[in-house]
Amino acid sequence: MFSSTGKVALFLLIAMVLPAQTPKPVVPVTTVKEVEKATDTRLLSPPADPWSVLGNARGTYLPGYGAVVTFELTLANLTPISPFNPTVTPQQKRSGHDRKVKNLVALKAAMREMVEHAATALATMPGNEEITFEAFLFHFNWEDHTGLPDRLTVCANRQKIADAVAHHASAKEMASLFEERSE
Amino acid sequence: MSTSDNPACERADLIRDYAFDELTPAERQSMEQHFASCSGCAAELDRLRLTTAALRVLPDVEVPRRIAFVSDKVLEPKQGWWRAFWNSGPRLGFASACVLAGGLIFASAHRQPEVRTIVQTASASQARIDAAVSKAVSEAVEKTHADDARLTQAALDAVDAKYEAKQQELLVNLQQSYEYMQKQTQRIVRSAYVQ
Repeated sequence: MFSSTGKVALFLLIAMVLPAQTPKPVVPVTTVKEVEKATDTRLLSPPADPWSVLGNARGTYLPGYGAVVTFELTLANLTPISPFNPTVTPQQKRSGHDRKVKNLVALKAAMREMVEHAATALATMPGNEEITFEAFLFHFNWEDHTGLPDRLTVCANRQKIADAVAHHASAKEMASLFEERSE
Repeated sequence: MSTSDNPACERADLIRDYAFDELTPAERQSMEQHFASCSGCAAELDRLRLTTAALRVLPDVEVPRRIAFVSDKVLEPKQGWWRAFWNSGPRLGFASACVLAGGLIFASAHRQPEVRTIVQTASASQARIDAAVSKAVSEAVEKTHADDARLTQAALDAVDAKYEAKQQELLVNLQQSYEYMQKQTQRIVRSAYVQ
C-alpha cells in the first residue's frame, strides 16, 4: 500500500505531531524543585534549640490530588550511642524528650509556613487540590517517645490557603484551614 | 457304839456284841431277827461294821515295853541333816538368803539375754538408722549440689541472656547511630553539591 519512502515519511510525520499534542504538566518540575529548596531553607532556620535535618525535602506532584513534600529530621540534636558514649543517663533521656516536645510545636508552625509558601509558589496547581507536607521524625530506640509522633502531616487546600494569604487572614482563620495528623 | 445312837431301841446295847461276835448263837439269832425288823439298829450295825473294817486296815503297833524320861538321850529324836537344818533358824535364814540370791541370779541370768537382745536390736537398729541417715544425708547433699549446679547454671544462663540482650541492644543502637550519622552526612554532602 505504501512504498518504503512513504512509510518513512509517515513515521516522521507522526513523530513530529505526537509530542506537540502531549499536554504540558500543570505543575512544572522546576516549581516543585523551588518548593523543595524553600523547604530546605526554612528547615535550616531552626528554633533556638536546633533540630537536625536528616533528609532534604522531596516534592512531587500527583495530578488530581496535589503536591506532596516530605522530609526527615530529628526534633533535637541528641548525642547518639557510640563506643565512646555507650550509655544514656535517665537525665539525658528526660532532657531530650523535653527538648523534642518543645521543638514539635515549632515544627508544626514551620510546616504551616511551608504550606503557605507552597500555596503561592504552586500557582498553576488547581485550586481544589491539596498541598501536603509530611515530616518523618527520627527517634533513637532508647528515647522516651511519649507524646512524640513518628510522622507529622500538615495539609491544606491550596486555593483556600492562597486566598487567606492574599487577604492577610488572621492566625486563627489560618489555623482553621490546616489539617494536622500525627502518627 | 452307844445307845445314844439309837436310843429308841432297847436292844441297841447288843449291837456292838453282835458286831464283835460275842453273843451266843441264840442271842445272835434273836438279834438277826431284830435287825430285820429294826431299821435303826440295822443302820447302826452297818456303821459299826465299816468302822471295824477301817480299824482292821491299820497296822498293829507294839506298846512300849519300858518307861523312859523325856530328857533321856534315848528319847531324843534321831535328827538327820534335814531335820537339823529345818530346826535351825540361822541355817534356815542362810538357806533362805541363798535361795533368794539364787533366784536373783537366775532371774538376772534369764533376763540378760532379753537385755542383750534389746541391746543387739538397738545396735542393729542404730546401725540401720546410721545407714539410713548417711544415705539420706548423701542424697540431700547430692540434691543440694544438683540444685546449686542447676541454680548456678540458670543464673549463668540468665546472665548470658542478659549480656546477649544488652549486646544486641547496644548493637542495634550503634547501627541506628550509624544510620543517623550517615543520613546527616549525606544531607550535608547533598546540600553542598546542590549549592
